[in-house]
Order: sequence, then structure tokens, then C-alpha cells
Amino acid sequence: MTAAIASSELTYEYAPGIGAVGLNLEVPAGKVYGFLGPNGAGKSTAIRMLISLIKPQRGSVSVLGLDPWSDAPDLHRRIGALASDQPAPRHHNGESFLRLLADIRKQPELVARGHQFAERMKLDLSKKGHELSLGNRQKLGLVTALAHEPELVILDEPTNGLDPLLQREIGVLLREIADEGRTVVLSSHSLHDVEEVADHVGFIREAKLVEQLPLAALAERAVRRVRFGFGDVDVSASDFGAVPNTENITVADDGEVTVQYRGAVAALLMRAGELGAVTIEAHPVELEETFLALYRGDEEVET
Amino acid sequence: MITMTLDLLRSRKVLVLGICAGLLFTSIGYLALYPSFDDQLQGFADDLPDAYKALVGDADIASPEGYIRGQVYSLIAPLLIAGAAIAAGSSLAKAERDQTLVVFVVQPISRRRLGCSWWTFVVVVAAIGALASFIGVVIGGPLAGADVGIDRIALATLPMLAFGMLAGSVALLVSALTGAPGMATGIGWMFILVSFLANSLAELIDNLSWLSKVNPWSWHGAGEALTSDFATLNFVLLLVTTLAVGVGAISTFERRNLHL
Repeated sequence: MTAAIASSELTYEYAPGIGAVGLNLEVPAGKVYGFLGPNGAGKSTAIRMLISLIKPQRGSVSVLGLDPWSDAPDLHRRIGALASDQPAPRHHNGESFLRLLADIRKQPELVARGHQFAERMKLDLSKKGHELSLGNRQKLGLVTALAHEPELVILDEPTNGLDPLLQREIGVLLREIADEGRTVVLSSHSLHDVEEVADHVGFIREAKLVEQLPLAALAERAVRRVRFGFGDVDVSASDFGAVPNTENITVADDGEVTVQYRGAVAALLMRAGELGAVTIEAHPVELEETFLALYRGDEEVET
Repeated sequence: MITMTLDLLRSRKVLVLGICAGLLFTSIGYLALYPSFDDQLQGFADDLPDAYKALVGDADIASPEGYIRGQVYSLIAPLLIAGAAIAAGSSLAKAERDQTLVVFVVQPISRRRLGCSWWTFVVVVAAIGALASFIGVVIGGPLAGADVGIDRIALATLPMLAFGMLAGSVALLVSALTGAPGMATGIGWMFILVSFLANSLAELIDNLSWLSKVNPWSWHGAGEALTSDFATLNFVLLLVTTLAVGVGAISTFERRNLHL
């Protein structure tokens, strides 16, 4: 699979351990990549390197095959970027700012597309930058990042300050962009923000990339829980002892057995059937717990 | 580049128009007052201490032309033109501090072009200020009874423009180096103040006369082209220094990691 972004040992440290250290990012083209981590973990530093705001101290990075520092103008022609807490220009309203960007990019059609996005996000383009609320500034930033139809969209905390309905709408919009074969990178400190839209996720903690995997693989890795009812049949925890990838088997007073497992469920179901299970209750995978475990740096990732 | 420069001008039109109005009306006002006290000024000028004469460029303020040099070209014009240019130069750091610069840095414009746009903005602001000063003297000169041709006024104004461009470029350089608007403004004004005082000291103290050869305030000549030959070498020195500082500012801005 072609990588829209590939980095090797990409590093920018403000102080030892502060910033982004040794990142080996691999963002597949045409997918939505959720870049996750706690506040201050290094997401914005990494994104600043990707969009040419700061020059890496070590390592290398290729964005759409270009070096963000030495090929910045060519790269910026092909990407749309939203920096963290990006302000709106004070002296422009949304309309005049779109026109300015259309002039700079020599893309007159950018204005009409900007209007479409603004309408979709319910953004009033007649207001000046200093009159906009946090949410509306964010909307304007998104409109200007998307209006030139970039091949790659890099958004730092794009849903910051947006209401839940609009957050969902942004998710739909980003999904549409990926479905057109374009690539989206969005950072967030919350898995909830990206799990509906992302194909891949990368976790950064304390300046280092600790995980990078398809979202589906994250779900597979999660520990799941299932509860069996056996009616009048007495079953003990040891009856499940031979089933692979099971753990924490408990038997309740009413005889129900709860089993935690990872990976494929077939062996567990077969054993439960042999023992005469009459009911089964599966608990949904709580990715949030998995995410929090990565946040905390737990050795085990559990639900 | 032109798009960006025009946008900078539009976004700071209050600053530009304010400085223009200040230069125009102050110049005209000062010069219109001259006939009301010109007969008293001769004796007054003779009694002035050398230190004051040095401050006003050693101009003979008892004559209309000298009065124009002493009031407009020694103080009002260089200070206001340079002040406007310093505000323009430090606006780069202000845009970095309030983060509005980020929306331009992620557009398909190289840092060099962005820096050039800002420098052009500094030059244009200084030029607009110089034009206002020129118009002020063209209108105010006859009111003061001065018999100076427009060509002499233009020649006297050109070094003011170059000095303003230099002061603005200094502020731009500090902006590019630090991203700190307060420091850019402060150092820009420090440059003017030190240069102004050094010029006065060079006039007063023989041992320090060499200062006038290396001092940009001395190079602008306080409008001496009104009454004598245009100092081409000093004008070229101002332009070359401005160019060097401007190129330094752009080069620094191109390389520095911005606080964005």
C-alpha cells in the first residue's frame, strides 16, 4: 500500500522528552489516519513538522513524496492543513479570506467550493475573524483547509470547539474525502473523535509513537468478555482451562460463567456448546478502554 | 507576492492612513506657522546653543528653507516615516505571536516570497509616508515663503524614504530573528534614537566626527538637498545598508522554526 506520509526517526525535541521523538509514521494513501494521544504528547509537534512549520532536528519524512521543509510550496499546493487552535485573520471576513486564498492559490473555483463547505458547516462567511467564536474560527479553518480539494488533509484537533452534531458532520465529510481516494490525517486526544471515521490509528505518548495499526486490529487486540448461562448444569472455571486465549474466568452464584478472551471466539464457543450453554451474552468491545490503557502505558491492553 | 503585500496594506490601512495624515498635516501646520514668527526667529536662531542646532541638522532655521529642514526633515519626517516602517516591520512578529501567520505559511508560497512580501510592505509603507511628507512640503513650503522647486523637495525626501526603509528593515530583521513584536519595535526605535544622538554628538565633539560617516541618520542629511547638492553617496549607502538588512531579514525568516 502506498504511503501518503512516511517518516523515519522523525524528531523535534523542545526539551529532552518533550516534543516528538523517533517517529516512524506510515500513513496509507486514501485512508483516514487518526493520530491519537494525550494533551502534550507530541501530536502537534509532529504535525508542525509535516506541514513545514518547523524543521525536524533528526530523521526524515516524506509527505506525498516531498520533503516538507525543502519542498514546502509544492507540498502546500497539494495539502490542506489546519493547525491547532488556528486563529482567523482579524481583518478578513470568511468571504474575503476565501478570495485572498483563491488569489494566492490561483484557484478561483476555491471560493465557490468554500461556500459549499461553509453552508454544510453552517458558517456565516460575512463575519470578520475577530467576531467569530472558537467553533466558528475552527469551521473557517476547516473550510480553508478543504476548499482547494487537497490530496492530503492534515488537521490538528479539527473538532475542537464544535458541537456534537457538527463533529459528526465533519466525520462524514472526512470519510467522503477518503472515499474519493484522498488521504486524511486528524489528531485528537479522544478515540471517540476518530473511531467512527478512521481506518488506521497511531498512538503517541510522551513524545514517542507507541502503536500504529488499523483500527480493526485494535479491536481484535482488545480483550472481550462473554457470559454463558448453563441452566441446571454445574460448570466450573476449570472446564474452560484448556481453551486458548482465555483468562479471568469467573462463575457467579447463579451459575453463569464470564470468560475474557482475545482473538478468535470459535474455540470458546465450541467448548461452551460442549458444556451445554443455553444463553450467551457478549459485551461490546470497549475501544475506549483499550485506548486508555495505551494512554496510561499499561503493559496489558484490556477492556 | 503582490497579492500578499496588498493584503498587508489593506489589513493595516488605519496605520498607513494615520501616519500619512500625521505627516501631511504636521508638515503643513508647522510650515504655515513660519510667517507669524519669522522676523523674531533670526535673533532667536543666533542665540540657540550649538547642541540644539546639532539636533536640527545644523540648519539655518531663520530662513524658510532652513526652517523646513530643521522642523520637517530633521525631526518630523524621519521620525514618522521610520516609525511607520518600524510598525510595518514588527507586524511580522505580531502575526507570528497571534498565530495569524500560520494561515499564510501553509499556503503554496515559499518562506522567501512571504518574507519578500513583508519587506515590500515595509518599503511601500515608508514610500507612502515619504509621499505624504513630500506633498506636505510642496503645499507648506510656499506658505512658509520658501522658494524651493518640487525637484529639490523630491531630492530632499528621497533620503528620508531610504532612512525609513532602513529602520523598517531593522524591525523586520528583529521580527524574523525573534518573533517578538515588542523587541522588534523597541530595537527599531532604539536604532533611530541611537542614530539621532550619535549624529548630534558627531556635530558637537570633534573627536567623534567620524561617527557621521557611519551613521545612517547623518546619511539622510536632514533635507540638505533643499539648499545644496544631493549627497548621492550617502543615499546609496542608505540603500545598500537597507538591502543588506532586508536580505538578512528574509534569509533569517526562511530558516527559522516559527513559533506557530
